[in-house]
Amino acid sequence: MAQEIVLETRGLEKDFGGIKAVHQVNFRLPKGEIRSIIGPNGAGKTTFFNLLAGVFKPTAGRILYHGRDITSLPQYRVCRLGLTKSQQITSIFPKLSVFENVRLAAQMRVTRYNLWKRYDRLPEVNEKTRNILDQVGLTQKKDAVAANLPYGDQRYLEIGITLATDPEILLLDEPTAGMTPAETQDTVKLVQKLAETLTIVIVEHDMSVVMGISNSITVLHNGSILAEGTPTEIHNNDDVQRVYLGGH
Amino acid sequence: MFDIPFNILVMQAVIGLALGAVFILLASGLSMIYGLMDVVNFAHGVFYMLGAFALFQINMLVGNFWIGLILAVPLVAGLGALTEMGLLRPLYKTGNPLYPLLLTFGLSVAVPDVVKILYGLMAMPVNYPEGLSGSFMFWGLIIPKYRMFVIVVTAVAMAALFLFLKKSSLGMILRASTTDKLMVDALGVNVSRVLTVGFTIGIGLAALGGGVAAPMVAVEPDMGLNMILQSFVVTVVGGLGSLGGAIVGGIIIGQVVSFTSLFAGEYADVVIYLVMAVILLARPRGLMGEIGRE
Amino acid sequence: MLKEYLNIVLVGVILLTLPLWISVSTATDILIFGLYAMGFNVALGFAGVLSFGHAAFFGLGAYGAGMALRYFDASVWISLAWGLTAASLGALVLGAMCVKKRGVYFALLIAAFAQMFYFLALSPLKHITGGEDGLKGIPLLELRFPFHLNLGDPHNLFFFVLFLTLVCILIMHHILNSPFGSLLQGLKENEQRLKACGYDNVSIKILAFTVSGLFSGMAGALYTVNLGYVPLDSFFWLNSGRPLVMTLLGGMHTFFGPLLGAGIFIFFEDTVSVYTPRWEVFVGAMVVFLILTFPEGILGSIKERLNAEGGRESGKVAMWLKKLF
Repeated sequence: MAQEIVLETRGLEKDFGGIKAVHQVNFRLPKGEIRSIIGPNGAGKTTFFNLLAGVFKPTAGRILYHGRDITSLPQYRVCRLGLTKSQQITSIFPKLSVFENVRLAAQMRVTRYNLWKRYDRLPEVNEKTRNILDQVGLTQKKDAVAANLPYGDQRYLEIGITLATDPEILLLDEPTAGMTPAETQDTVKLVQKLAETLTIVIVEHDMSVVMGISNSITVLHNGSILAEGTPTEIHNNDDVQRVYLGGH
Repeated sequence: MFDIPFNILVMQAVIGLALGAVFILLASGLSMIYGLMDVVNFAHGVFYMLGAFALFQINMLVGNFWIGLILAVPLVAGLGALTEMGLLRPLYKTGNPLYPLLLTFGLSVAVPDVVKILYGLMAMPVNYPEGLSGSFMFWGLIIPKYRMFVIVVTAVAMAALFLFLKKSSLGMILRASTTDKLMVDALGVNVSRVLTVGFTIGIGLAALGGGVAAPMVAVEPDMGLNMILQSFVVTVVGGLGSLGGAIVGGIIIGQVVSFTSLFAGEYADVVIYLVMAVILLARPRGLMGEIGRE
Repeated sequence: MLKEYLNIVLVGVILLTLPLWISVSTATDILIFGLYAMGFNVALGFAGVLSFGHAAFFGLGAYGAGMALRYFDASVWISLAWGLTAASLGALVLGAMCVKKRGVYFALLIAAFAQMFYFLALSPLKHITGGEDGLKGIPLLELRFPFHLNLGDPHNLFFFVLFLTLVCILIMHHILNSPFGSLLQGLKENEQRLKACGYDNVSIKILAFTVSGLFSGMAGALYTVNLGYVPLDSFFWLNSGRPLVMTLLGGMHTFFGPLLGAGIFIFFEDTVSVYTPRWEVFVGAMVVFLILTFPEGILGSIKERLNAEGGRESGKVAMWLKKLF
């Protein structure tokens, strides 16, 4: 069955002072998939993610979203189109409440420059915020100051903020980094739940997580795509074995 | 520009260079203090003014410009050291650069008034030192002697500062402290002492600026108020935190002021801000600013 | 509804009684500079944008209103509108030009532009600004609409300024509690994250700065109405420092802190200046003293105290008081 391609890159390149962090990447993402991006440290995963989300501008190449060229759009425009990235390092609004953290993001689709309404009296925004807090399991803690949350909860809040922008494609940068095994399990369940409605790209180090949830895997090495395929194919791929085990 | 004799243009350039030299003395200190402690020192103009008054006072007492100049600098620099140790140091631990900035703002309001109480509002006369009034001829060009002297003094001071920063061990510690204080601390150096030294040197340069400027300008308590903003412009044009930038910025702004006052006197003070806007739009970090210092 | 605005009503009542304790002209000054500082704090305390050049907007408001009165025979209302327009346009343009610079760079750039206005008014434009003497020759002011009020009377003037200050405070309060206002907190807390949430952080900053300049300009325009002339020093950089000092005095993380700071600052200044022309020594020394002893400001320190109380669940009063600030 030919699936619709929602995100595509053609010949994507990124140089940092002569070092090619991303080199000639041609990437195609079908709708509804959970795609993992793996690779050794320094393979260019995070740079690639930042290119997709519009944080960095590529040196060369194009990024197409539903066939539309979004290469030169600023990050906030990319986000409004439906492509949102959660951060690898927890990035929340530390002094605001959990509810307000998510509410700020949820407000984006409804109103931005309204000076006259009361911010806390936007029924649809509040409703959406409550739903998302429910989804990420933070309803009990909605009034806590974000900075005071335990680390794992801050990671969930991070995902919650990202979800509140109504993404069509969710880019998750190491969502389980630093989590306890129990929290990691919950995150895996959450990601699988989200995948029912969203397309998800995930950068992850934990191989058991990757093998468990991915529909397909892209392996980056030295900024280029080394291999691509189903978890089983990747598991049995000689090149991948060599890079991961042989230590290059 | 066309009906003005070449001679006058050269003289104007020298005047501009001398003005630029005073800017350089202030801006280099400002820049160094900013680089070292992230503090925008609004009181810099105050120390410039104090330098001029110290020279005036000593000159009055002993009747010698040179003794005045030589004593004024360490005297005011000492005041700077006391300010840093007594007032600024307790504020570093707040971690908020706003507080030191506000403190220096408070000083720049209070200190000129203290001087007004002591000396009144009138401008104090400081004559050119003997032998440096008037002009000399050089290849048929008229060069004002005192302005030339100011340029030379500044050049020597800057050369000394560069040598100090590049060659002496204390200078190297100072430079290292602008980039990585933790590292310097880890090497067992007393960082707060280093900051005091840096601040003191910066203030000494401002005092030198005030001292050499004294015969050229009106020595009065508010003389630093406008100077401080102009020095900011110089540092911003050159690039905050860069000594080379302070020199380039000083030369440019000095010439701009000098030539606009020749051709469109009313606009002399306006144009430097326009120049700054244009330079910053073209080069956001100033002419010689480092990346990441924006 | 009323509960929401209880704090403003309370402050309004306190301000209303000001002339009972202090001279009416000092009271009027407090209102004007309180508004100036509160407007300034929209940028600093709420959006996290430090400007060292708000004198530009105060001055544009003052000269805008002054020129309308002096040259176009405009009514008081119309001249206030001119002042407002000039100031907000100035803030919009300068904000848009400088907004991409961060921290100290931004603060100094705005300071430099304010100083440029000062020198423009001092000499190239002196035929219309009055140069060093300031803009004089403004006719005696009276209100013709909605009722007749002689603004030459200091008490009438006080009530007029009080009315407008309270209206401005209400509007400011409303803006800060709007969906846009809630974004400012995000901007201050984590600009990168706000951007990643699909917000155009640059435009938000420019708009916040414009709002801040608008209220500062209103204060400047009222200053003209109050003095009957425009002093050149409106544009001088020391006048940019004033709202900053007032704000830090009262507490930059509180809504009314800047107003309280202005009250203390102006009262102090007016009182000391009766006894000595060298009042700036005392003002400067006070600034130095307060920075060293109360870095969070007066209301800020109280709020911190109340936060600690509230954390211990001990004081309902504490929680209630906290809401007021």
